[in-house]
Amino acid sequence: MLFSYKRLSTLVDLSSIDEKALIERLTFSGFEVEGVEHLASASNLVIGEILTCENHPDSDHLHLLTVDTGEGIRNIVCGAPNARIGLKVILALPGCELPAIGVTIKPGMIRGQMSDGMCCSLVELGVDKALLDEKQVNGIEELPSDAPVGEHNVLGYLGLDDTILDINVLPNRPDCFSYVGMAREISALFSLPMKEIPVLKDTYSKNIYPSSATDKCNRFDAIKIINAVPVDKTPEDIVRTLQANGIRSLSPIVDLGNYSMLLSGQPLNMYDADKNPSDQYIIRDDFEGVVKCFDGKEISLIKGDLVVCNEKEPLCLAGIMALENAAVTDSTKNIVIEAASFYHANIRHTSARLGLTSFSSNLFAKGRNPKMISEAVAITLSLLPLFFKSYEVVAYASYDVSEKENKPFAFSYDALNARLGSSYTKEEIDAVLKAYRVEKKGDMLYPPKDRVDLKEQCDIDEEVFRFYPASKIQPTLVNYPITHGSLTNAQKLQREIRSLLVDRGLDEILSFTLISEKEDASIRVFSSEPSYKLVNPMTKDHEVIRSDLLPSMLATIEYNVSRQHENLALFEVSDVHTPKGNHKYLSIGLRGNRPLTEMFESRPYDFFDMKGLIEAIFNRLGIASTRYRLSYSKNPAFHPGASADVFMGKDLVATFGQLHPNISKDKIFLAEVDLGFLFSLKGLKTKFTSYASFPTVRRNLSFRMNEKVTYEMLKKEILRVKNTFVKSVDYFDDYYDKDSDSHYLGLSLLLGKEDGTLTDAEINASMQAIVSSIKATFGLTLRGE
Amino acid sequence: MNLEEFKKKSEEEIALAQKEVDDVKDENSLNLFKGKFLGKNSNLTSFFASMKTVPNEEKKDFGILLTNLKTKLNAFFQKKEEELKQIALNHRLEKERVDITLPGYQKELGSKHPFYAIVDDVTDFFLGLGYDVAEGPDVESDENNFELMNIPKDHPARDMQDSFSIDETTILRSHTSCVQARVMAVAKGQGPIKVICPGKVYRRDNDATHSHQFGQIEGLVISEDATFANLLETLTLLLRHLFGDKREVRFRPSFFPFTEPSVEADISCFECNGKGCSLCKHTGWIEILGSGMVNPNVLRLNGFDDKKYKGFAFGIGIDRVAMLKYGIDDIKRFYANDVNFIDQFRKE
Repeated sequence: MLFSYKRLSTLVDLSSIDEKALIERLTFSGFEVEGVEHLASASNLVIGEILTCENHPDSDHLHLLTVDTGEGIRNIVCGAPNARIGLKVILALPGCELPAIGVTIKPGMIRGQMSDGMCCSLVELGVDKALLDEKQVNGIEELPSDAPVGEHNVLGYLGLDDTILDINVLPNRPDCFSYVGMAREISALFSLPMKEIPVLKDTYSKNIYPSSATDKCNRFDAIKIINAVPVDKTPEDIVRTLQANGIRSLSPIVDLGNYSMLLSGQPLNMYDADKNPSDQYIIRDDFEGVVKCFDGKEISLIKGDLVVCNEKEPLCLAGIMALENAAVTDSTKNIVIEAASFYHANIRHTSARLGLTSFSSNLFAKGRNPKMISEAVAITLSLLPLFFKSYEVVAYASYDVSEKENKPFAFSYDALNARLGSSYTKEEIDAVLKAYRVEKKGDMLYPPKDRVDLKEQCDIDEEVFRFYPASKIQPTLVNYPITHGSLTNAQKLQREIRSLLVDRGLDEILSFTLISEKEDASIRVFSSEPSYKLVNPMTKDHEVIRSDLLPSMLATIEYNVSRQHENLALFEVSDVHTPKGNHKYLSIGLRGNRPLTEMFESRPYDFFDMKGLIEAIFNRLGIASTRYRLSYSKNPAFHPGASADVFMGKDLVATFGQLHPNISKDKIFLAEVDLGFLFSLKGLKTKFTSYASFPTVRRNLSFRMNEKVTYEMLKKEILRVKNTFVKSVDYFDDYYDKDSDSHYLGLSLLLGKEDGTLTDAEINASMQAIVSSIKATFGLTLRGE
Repeated sequence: MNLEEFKKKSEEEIALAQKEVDDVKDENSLNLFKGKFLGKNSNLTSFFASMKTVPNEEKKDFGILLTNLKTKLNAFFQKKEEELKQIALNHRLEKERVDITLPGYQKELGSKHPFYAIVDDVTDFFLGLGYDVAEGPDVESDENNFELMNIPKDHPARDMQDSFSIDETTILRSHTSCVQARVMAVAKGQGPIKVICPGKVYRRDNDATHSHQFGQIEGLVISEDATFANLLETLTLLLRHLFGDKREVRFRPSFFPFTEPSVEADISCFECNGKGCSLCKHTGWIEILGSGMVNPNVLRLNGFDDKKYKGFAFGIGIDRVAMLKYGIDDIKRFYANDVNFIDQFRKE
């Protein structure tokens, strides 16, 4: 909330501290000062009087003025339509800086005529246009006829020499959304005396009838004033306070409501008493229908909207807006002032639904304290003489079902120090209780009415902590509970898989959980069930909670390609949330060329780059290749001949391969892996086994292949043949001979014995057995055979 | 030939060989030198042949002289041979010279995302202090996210965190504090608890400085004697770990519904060391995180005896820490995933 320094100093004596000390102390006691601004700023001004005013010979709107500055007469060229002889004006002298418009005044020629200064409007001095009337915005400021010519402290004369503090009042301190509340806080923090705040002396008749038909209002006070004659103009210092808070002065009656609200924190509503002769004012929450606002706009209300009614109809949309049938006008003479406490949530919901927010609706939304309404009424009554030349208060009544006092609670000095790890003395703590007017009787504390946030011991812990410098508590690890912290197995594995992929040259990405419905439907891997959908999305682009990571991966690849990053190797590990359950998936995307270790060399990514990554992950997790199987993927988003589904038993644990050209013309390889499932498996237990120390031999075989046989089939068959001493079979070459239209697959066999060195005879016999077995099983012959 | 004569001849031979060996410049002349002084037709060979004519009593001295001569001649040859070899090798090495300024062969390395680099770093810090890492889902109940965190329905504080809803009771979590409720539910009223909870959170907030998705790391400690002073030290250590040992840390009272008292921690600006610059908005300080003592009502709501147990909690913005630490100008970069961005964090 914004606070005028000048106005605060009329409530609490600030003469002994400076602005800087105030800002520092507030910030370190939980009231961060987020901004310090000046209502207006300008240097080198003087009050002048226009002596002569003639039209500029070469312009249809400029005037040539001579202005008496009290220290001489200056020639001024001025474009304001309201410049005229005898007008007292604000004159900016050469050298004057006007930060609001970014100008430093210099003497100069304007269309051939000398100008030795500038007549100013308040806008040029930095006052917000919204706070001024049309005449003030379009012309120069018209000073009163008794303004002292030659006065240099123009901002002081105008009451514009004020500092505005933007103080961040936190939600637990609703009392400080008011000048009086903030003044009390400052008074407590600095031990400064408060100026006298009016106290209600209820001597009025009760011939006014506030009441409530709903529990959403627990207090409703009404004051009736008759024969009110407003002053001609709201006092200037009050106008400046309103302006400091961004409120424009409109008329004395309206200004009274706003000013009283700023002081007390209690919003008021004004009714034209003559429009409601029964004097009944009833709060209801069951009205439905269309009503007309004071500005003529129609709005339709539903149950739950709080309204102030008489026996027949609504008079006011409670806490938000006056209605036309009861609102005050310029001719209003008899007034009823409402000060009530409405349930914050109703006001918040109504004002959000109708898009109507105001200073007062915001205050209600933060929750008002019904115990403080008496003070608000007293403040309002004390202000009446400033706003009315004559008036008569004829009735005051209060409907009050609220609690009268804040509840007391138990307090212990030792518990405070034990919890904070501090060593505040009893005297130090008592000083805080005293500053905040908390009464102590035995072990019980009685907070003052204005402090609804003081409910139990911990709230006092906070008051003590923020009252003294934070450095009173010595940071320490003494008493820190000793525990054994560690990552779970899955958390460790997740880190290791990420490291593995980074080591292999992939970049980790982080994408949005919320995607569009279209993206969500574009690629699905593990389920085709509907995804979670938001009821209140901000945009269509982020409306669905993704069920798979690949839509995001694809979008990231496309984004990078559009920015000329042609070669991409990316991955993301993320939790995925679906109505059927939560998962942890890994997505991988490869696109463009793979850099090779040789300088400046690369080759396009292919299926086997992706397969290599998938195999490496399984390897790292200790999942033997015999525990999973591959089959050509049935997923329509993938190339049917260059993609695979990976199954463990019946469970699909990964899909990878080339993206189907229908999805993207670009050649992209994608993978999605159910990491959470893999992490939950028992990996191989690491156990040492002895290894042979006899030499092994390698023999290569190249078979002329046909369409039906795969590498995997050959490998299995070779390993199946008995007594061949084959320890492992590896792929080493794939060769296509154009001339004979033949495809040859080269296999490398490792042979060895555990108990001796193989003889040539043994090796030859093995190779013959293998070749004839392959020939018999698949009909394949060796290359060159 | 008597001994004296042989001695003289031997010396002459050595002198000659010494003179001639200096002229040997290549393999060819080295071979000629070898033939002349050590070969079949050399004087040395004829001296050996004449051994049989030497009287027996002189044979020993003669033999010593002869062996000495052979050793010396051989030494000339071997030294020269080695010299020539070295010259040839040096010549070859010269030819094999590489341009050492050319780049080395690389196996291209990828990079962690800076968001996860911070998560990993902060996790390691807290593992060292004996914390576990707790996890919770992004799709969370309204109860865990708000009610059990002391933010009942209609509470004004809900306005501070406008959340995305899936249905009446389910939302996308608006902070990682909801993991506190999950951890406390599992603990069934028994301390101690020491966990951090990193994760993604979501708010209906999207402007120049906000993203509807961002990251937080929640911390929660509950034990019979944890204190506010423990919290302040934990945060001081953490912030110095993240931003350097020289950082000053200060604490300002604040408000959060789930902690009381609450504090925000600031660090002295690392750009200007507290002098004031654009990064710290000329205050010399940068706001980093919020924390406080667990509100007793949160303990009660989550099945802990607030007379027996105390606790503290803190929350760190992952994106914010990464932005400050690495000088990233716009939170939207995290989620755009331009590889030019990600590749800058190779060493993290």
